[in-house]
Amino acid sequence: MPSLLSSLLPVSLAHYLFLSTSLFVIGLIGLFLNRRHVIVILMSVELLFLAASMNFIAFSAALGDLSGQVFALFILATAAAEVTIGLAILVVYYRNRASIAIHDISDLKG
Amino acid sequence: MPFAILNEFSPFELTEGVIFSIFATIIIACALGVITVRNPVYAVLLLVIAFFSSAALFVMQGAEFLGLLLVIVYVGAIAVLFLFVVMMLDIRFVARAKLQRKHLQLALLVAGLLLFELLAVVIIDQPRERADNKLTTSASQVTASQATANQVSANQVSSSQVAASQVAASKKMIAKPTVGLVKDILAKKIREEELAREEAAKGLLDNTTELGLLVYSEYLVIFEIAGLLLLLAMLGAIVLTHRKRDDVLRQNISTQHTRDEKARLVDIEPRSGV
Repeated sequence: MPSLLSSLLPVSLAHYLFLSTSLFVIGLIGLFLNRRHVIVILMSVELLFLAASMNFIAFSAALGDLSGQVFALFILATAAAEVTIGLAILVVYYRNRASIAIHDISDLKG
Repeated sequence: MPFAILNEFSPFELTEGVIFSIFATIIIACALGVITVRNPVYAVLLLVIAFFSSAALFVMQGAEFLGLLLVIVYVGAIAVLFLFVVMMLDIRFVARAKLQRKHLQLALLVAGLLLFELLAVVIIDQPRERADNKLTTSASQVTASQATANQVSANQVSSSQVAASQVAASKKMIAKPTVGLVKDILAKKIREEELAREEAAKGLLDNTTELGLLVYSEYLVIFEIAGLLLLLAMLGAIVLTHRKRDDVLRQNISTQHTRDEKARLVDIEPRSGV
């Protein structure tokens, strides 16, 4: 217990990197795990974006340089654009096929 | 006695550690929930909680503006968009797809590789840091507090150094010759900016203002491109989802204007009929 505390306590850059790494890996596994729901796949991509911006902000805070936060801002904008287009495509696809199961979307595969 | 180690840390560090542990746990748990829960609505709600907690961590790191932005943009807009689509599309509860062995192996391979690579960097860097910590913590309480005070002042010094270098950079910009009428306006703007930077050096500006100074000067072009990207995304969403419906009457101005000449307005007396 004391060793755990001593490794946990002065919250440093390494802790935030651990957190964002685990978040990234969870999002990555989610991409593979949910091969049925396109929407959950989009959410996994959001988790990846969150992990990336968390890294940027952790480094920005550790280095005392605001540029990292600026790039986190751009990541946010990109994520918003990506989600908008992704969900629009989903809606159009659902209108045409009445289903968004990935199983049905594999038509384009050769 | 196992908690005697706690005495080596300042109350600030203790609070920070507690807050970080709580929010990090929430984030990881919610992220796991997002990818495993079967009902997409629950997944969206868990995603919202994860984003909220990370906003708290952002604020704790001094990125207040981005924390608030995360709450407003993600929780307020994107999550609601997700909810709309999830509820609009009437998704059947599909049983979780039978995981093909191939896919699971691939997932674990890629994830394990990434985890290893990313953590390797952190762990390799860790021992040195741990040693530094030991040095400061093994000293007496007084010197520890002195060390933190020194650290604080060192931080201030470094931030003022950064600001000073920025001021120098803007001075360099002034030295650059500018063309024509714009010159005076530009020089005035740069002088104002320099003034603001000097205030920043004194620590008078908050995170939002500093971020604004940076975004509207150094990263102006990228910022504009980001705005263009968002505009494009909006247009794309509208164009993709817009459709003409046959069962809704609409005014078609071009057919109205190019209609047959014989059809014209006729005055008809009331009650006379046509």
